[in-house]
Amino acid sequence: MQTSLHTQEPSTPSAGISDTALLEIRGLRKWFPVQKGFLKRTVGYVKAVDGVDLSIQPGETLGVVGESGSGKTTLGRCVLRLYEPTAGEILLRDNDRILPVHQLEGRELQAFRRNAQMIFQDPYSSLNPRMNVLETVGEPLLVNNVAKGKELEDRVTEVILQVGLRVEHLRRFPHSFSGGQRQRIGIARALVVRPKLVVADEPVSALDVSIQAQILNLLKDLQAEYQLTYIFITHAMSVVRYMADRIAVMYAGKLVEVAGKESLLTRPRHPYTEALLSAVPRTTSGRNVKRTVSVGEVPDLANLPPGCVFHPRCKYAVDRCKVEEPALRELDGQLVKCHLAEQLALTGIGPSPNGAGRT
Amino acid sequence: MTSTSTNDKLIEVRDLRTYFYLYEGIVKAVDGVSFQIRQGRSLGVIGESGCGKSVTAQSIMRIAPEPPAKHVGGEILLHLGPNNNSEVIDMLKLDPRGQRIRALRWKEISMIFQEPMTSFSPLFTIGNQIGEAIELHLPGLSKKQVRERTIDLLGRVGIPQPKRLIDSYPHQLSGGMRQRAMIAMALSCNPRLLIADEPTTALDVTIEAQILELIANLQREFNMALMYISHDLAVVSEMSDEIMVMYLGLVMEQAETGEIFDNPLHPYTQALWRSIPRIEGGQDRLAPISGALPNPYNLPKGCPFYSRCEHRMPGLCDAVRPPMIEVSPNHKVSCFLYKTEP
Repeated sequence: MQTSLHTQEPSTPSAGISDTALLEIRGLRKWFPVQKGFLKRTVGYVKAVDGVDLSIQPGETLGVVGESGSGKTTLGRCVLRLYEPTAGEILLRDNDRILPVHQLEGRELQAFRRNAQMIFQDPYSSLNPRMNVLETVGEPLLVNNVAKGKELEDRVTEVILQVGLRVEHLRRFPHSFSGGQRQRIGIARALVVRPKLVVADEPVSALDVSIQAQILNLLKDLQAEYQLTYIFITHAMSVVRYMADRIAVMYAGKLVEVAGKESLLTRPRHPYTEALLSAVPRTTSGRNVKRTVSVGEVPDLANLPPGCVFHPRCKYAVDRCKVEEPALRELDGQLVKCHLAEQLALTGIGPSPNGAGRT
Repeated sequence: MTSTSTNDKLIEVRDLRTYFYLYEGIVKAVDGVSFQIRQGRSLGVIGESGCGKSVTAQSIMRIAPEPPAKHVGGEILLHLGPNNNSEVIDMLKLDPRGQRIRALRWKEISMIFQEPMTSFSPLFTIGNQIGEAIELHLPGLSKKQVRERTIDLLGRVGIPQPKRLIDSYPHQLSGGMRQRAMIAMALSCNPRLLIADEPTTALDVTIEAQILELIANLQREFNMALMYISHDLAVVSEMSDEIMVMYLGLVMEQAETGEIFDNPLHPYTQALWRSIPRIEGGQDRLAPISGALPNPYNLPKGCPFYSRCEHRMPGLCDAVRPPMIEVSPNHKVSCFLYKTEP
């Protein structure tokens, strides 16, 4: 995997992607202009995503975690071209071809959408109240010219049965469904075109605790059945622990650590990952927990600190961190963006003493 | 904190029933809830949306919208303590818009909410709004003293540069800072009971950790009682000495925090524990609670969890509501599977 953060000329044609990866992201940037005054002069940029390199293997679930404003949603939307990336490459394997997603236009972009779909956070605002389930779930088939008429109805029926809805639901409108059922409709709509890649942006955050488990299990079952690849964006560390194979931690638009789930959680290498894990409340800790709470808040993305973006909140920061930005580099199979990664012995989440046995 | 004398009872809720009379029918949001909180102790309330946890809190403050809400039964006894001749007031007997309850709100009981943006008026500075609460409840302070007290409070809840930020408007603060300001306002008159209704749900996990630590420290410092409401088990477990599990307007189980996690008795509590992903891991597969919530307009006669329960006993559980019994000291459960300790 390429670890350089600053691809100087990101629009140069790529030489192809690594042998196995389904998706490869190189030097991805999304800068939103900050405009001021009557003439809407651009006075600066909000660097929502600033130089992200990632590669995703087929069939895996990559969890993307971070605080609000860390750029995780923007990253997910750029991958699907719901936002136009400012710079960088996004390459998707489609059978024998490599699709340069970042430069697709028109018909080809439409074809790409059959390969990559999104599940949204809020099942209340992401469904059109004037379309019934058949229309909602069937729409991607229609606009992508995949199916129509009887065939469309058959495919919609098939997929809504798979997500746990019933045939009699087809003619009903969103208002007659509960939050969990609406999220099932959202999942059916994403899966009806049989995508390879699904970006799920906080798919259970708006749901009640007992419904969350149903939706998470459903996503896992569907993944096993259709060999789906998930980019699973969430702020809930316990959810990502259940869902992900690998975890990417984002902070202020940059990846600070990428590693396999177990090693990242038990032995984090970046001080921000440690702070994030330490902040997660646990049922086993009881009262009077002592934690390494990181002080302060996420920095202003239009005005990032020099050096390492995390240094103002980092308790291990040394002078070097204030001036020199560390690169995302490999260390024992984990990717970490910290000058001190070798020297620090950071605390993660220990294995649960009786987590499995607790009922 | 560990005193167990029965004299330091602060609030006692007995068989509270708060119903909502709506066009579609009657929703029994709270239907016979009893608990008490002692001085300096904390009670966590867990439940899914619609279980009545927020309505219980709103009933204590008498801020449930009346109508459609109506308190059809029960008592909420506030013990005013030795400084006030140990007077006991039934909050349900007070006029919700009257002088008496206004004097008790903020001074005896205050509350912090989930979304601090909607709890503050956008038209006044936070200093203005906190100062107003102080002026109302602690008359006799000069303008300057009120301002000094406000600055002191803002500093204590961890707002940097309180002298400058006292004059800022709510929209100028971040979510975490607004919640801090809300907490400062809630503590402005040294209340004896703080009700926290999901105060960190809208916040990021690192900010949440800061706010939880702040509330825990302030509770100790002010020796307040705390009622902490959340759907997040882990948060509640960190904030509470005791935990109460609610389902459809009823208390299912109540026990000390360690006990209820290690030894949950009610089938609903057990099912809830199994359905929630944990950061500690060790879960191959989550076990969702089967079925769906029953129609709130037409709740079953017996146990509200009957239709979803693995251990249901037809003829008994669906006919009679199980009473709350104490199976071991301080561990109460409302389920026919258990009998009182012999």
